[in-house]
Amino acid sequence: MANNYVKSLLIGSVCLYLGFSSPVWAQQSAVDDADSFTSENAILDTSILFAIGAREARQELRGSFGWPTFQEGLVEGVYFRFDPDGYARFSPSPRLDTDVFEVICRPRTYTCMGRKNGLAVALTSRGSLQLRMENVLETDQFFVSDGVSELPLPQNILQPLDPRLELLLSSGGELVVKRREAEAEQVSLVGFAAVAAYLRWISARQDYVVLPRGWPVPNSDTAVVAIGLTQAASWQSPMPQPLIPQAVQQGLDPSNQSQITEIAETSKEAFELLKEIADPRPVRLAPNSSAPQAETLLLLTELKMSIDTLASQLHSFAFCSAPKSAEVATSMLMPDHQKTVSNEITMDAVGMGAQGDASLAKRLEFLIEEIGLPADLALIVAQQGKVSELDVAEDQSNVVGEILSELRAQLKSENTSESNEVESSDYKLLSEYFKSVKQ
Amino acid sequence: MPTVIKKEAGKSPATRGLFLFAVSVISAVAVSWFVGTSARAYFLSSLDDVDPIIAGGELDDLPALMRGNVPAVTTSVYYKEPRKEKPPRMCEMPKTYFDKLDQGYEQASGYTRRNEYIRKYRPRRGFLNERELRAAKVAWTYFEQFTQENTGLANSVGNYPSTTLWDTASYVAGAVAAYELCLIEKPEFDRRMTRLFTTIKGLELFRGEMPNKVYHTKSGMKVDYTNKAGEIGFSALDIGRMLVWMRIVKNRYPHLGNTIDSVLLKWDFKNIISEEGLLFGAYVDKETGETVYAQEGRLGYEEYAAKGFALWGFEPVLAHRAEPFLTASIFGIQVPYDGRDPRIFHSQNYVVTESYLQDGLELGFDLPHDDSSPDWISSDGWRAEFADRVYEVQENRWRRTGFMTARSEHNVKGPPYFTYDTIFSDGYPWNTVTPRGDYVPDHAAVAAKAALGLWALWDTEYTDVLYEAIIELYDPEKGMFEGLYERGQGRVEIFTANNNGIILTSLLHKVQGKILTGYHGDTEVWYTAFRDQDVRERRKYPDPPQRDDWLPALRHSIQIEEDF
Repeated sequence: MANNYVKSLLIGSVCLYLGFSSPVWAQQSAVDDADSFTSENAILDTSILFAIGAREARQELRGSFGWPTFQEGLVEGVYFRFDPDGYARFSPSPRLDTDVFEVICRPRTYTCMGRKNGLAVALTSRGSLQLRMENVLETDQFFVSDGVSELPLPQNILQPLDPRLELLLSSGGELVVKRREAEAEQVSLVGFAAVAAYLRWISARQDYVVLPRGWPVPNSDTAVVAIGLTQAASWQSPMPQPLIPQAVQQGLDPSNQSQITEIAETSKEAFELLKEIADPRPVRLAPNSSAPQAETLLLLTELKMSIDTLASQLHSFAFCSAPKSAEVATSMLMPDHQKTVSNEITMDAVGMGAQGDASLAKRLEFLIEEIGLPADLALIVAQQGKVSELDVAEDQSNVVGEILSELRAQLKSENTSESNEVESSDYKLLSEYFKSVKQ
Repeated sequence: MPTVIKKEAGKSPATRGLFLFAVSVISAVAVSWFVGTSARAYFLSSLDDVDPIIAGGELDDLPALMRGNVPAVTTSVYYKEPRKEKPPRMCEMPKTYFDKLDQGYEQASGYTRRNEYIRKYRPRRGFLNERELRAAKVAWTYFEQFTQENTGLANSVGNYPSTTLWDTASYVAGAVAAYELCLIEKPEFDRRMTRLFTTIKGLELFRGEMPNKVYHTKSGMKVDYTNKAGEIGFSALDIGRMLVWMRIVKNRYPHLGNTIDSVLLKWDFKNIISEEGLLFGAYVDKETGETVYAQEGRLGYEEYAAKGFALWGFEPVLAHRAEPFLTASIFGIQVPYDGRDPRIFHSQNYVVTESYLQDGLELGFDLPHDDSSPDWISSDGWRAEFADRVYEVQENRWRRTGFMTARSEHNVKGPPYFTYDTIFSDGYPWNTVTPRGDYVPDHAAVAAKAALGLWALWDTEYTDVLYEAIIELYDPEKGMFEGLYERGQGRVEIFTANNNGIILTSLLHKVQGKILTGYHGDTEVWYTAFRDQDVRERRKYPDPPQRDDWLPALRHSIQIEEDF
């Protein structure tokens, strides 16, 4: 009897867990009653615009119930309309009748999913997008097709999407499912980016922060005013009062620890994503990166200019052109701090003399193009290779010498406890390694 | 003698000329005097022949205090024709009742000199057969099931406790039909109507003006679209339909007249109809909370609602006109649609069957002042002609594509809950759209109310097919289903007051013809009340309509735009 009770409890708990933690599609229940038009079901304020150019409009209701307003607009190449309960349609056609991405939400929650044909997309509890496809086997292969070529997708496509995969899917085209080399299913990805943004926007209670960088966000002043209106306790609008304002106004409920954790995790992931996007290494930059930081963009621009400068200098070195003229030419084009770097290079070039120019240029070219080092790092490496040998720029060499001696001292002290002492010939400092590179 | 002759011959010509001149002058003066005197005498005598202005007479510019006592002028009064009487209830009709019914079969179709229209088609007339009677009983079941006892209001949709005036009018239509078809008796009918109109009289109005768009049927409180206490505004179309049915009830059942008058005398009409005769609805501005009045109604609904207002003496001249309208050629038929561009006016210009059906069933496509013409003449000619086109294009679609077609606005189960299943809208034929404009062709359906309405007004082979599709489409416990999906998804499993009300009206029309009957009486409380106050001026209550106040009978040229 007790066993049965425990079993029932377990089953109940599992069901409860599944009920609350499984993806949206497992929870979506059919809304089949006019009762759904209650103010509690309104999760969106249609006066807060999803994108520039959108507008709130009145529904043409003849009956006694329904949502009084909706919002419509055009973003990312798709037309959209959504109701206060989150129900939305995205389509490249203004009639919203072809190639439609439909978004439905669980009543009275911010849990929504987008669907088109056999494809469903929803947010996980961590804020990542997750796909679900009907009638897909484990052995099926996935491709993104742009109509000309097909790019194979990893097998974890049905797992929560990493940012790069999401960006790839957002670029449009078709998602192709192949079974034994034959095409089993094909779903248009038109509107995927807009739906992803919409799902996150709902989840964040219509906060623009979660929208991708470059999203046509309406004027913030207007948005603040709109939020203020809907927050008013004496709001007299015929439209049902949505839940967002309270959430935004009062902040998150401190008792809801899981919600805070979830948002913290989402923020962390977003931060990691931004870090990855901000990484200046060219190999890490996705071609369709949609949200590079402004600083990153600035840095990238500067680096590009440095590379251009270096390239021009390399060119001048290679053809034994007059260094003075190159210096003048580049210094006129570069920003101040780049001029410093350039000057160092020019000084080195002058110090090295004509016979060292060609080798330095070759080395820089190798470091940048073959190894893939950023321009400034390659320059430092090249400089360090020259410093001790040519003994120019004495201050700099002193600093480097001090650092090296400190490092050697540290290494010695760390190795004193060990019985088998390592001789200095057993290891080689990186700086010394680079010295050898030039040989 | 010669001397005498000389003397006479010696008169100078000057003397003779003077003489003649003097005679002429005297003659002219005499004639002038005579003519002047005669004319004066004539005009003075004519003054005596001018109609004297008698207090209360035609030439008397009556003070407002007295204008209510003048009887309204209708065709029966003006042309001295017999007024259309209320037909007997079905159970009281002699078996030979339909044997001598004049259907005007010998009349050629087309416009008359008075711009009346004789249709190519005739309505079905006769007693209800067993299947029709069963359908009527089932349709009435809806109102038995879903009428709230404490308020007398019927739910719009199933057990969801809210309603509009449009749907309440459908309930009144259902009750009238149930009584006339002998499904209920007078005590039951009177109880229901008295309860209902007493509640309507007590409804809290939208900002003290007109009834709110939606009311809670259990509490009678004004609510918003989510059925929570609040206010939305008012709908001129809904009120217009309610006015039609209040007039029908008042004319048919004079004992309920005062009850109905007292309802109307609480309403304030100052903003709902403009000086030019356009209808205006109201809504609340979301930002400022102020009332916004906006023109309401598109071709089809607008004219029907306008006639509702005209039945109570208002002059909705512009609202009753078809202009601005265009036509779209669909299956060879010039289908008229409203010319106001939805992209500019942000209002859909849907063409559906419903408003034409209601005009035909309830008003016989007649003008509001027409209480004497036979059923086969439609005095509001262009309405009947447009209705024929709306019917023909649907029959043509069936013949050329095989799709049974009877399109109307209708509810659907689940989102989007309501669709405009149109013949034409927003530039597209056979456009099925949601209230926000999404194209949802899967919700296209044969609307039960449209099918039965077409069957009642167009006695054709095609409507026989519609009849077979719909007449057994019911749940005996809940009423007639909303319709049958066009794409084979089965029945539209939802029950509404509007659908069941119109079905009952259609069945009643088969038995009695045009539902509106003439008014018996000289004047009405509606016209005489508040004559000693300024209430009538402030609320813009009308005076009894006279000949000059009649809405014009028009005919329209075909305006072709596009061929679909």
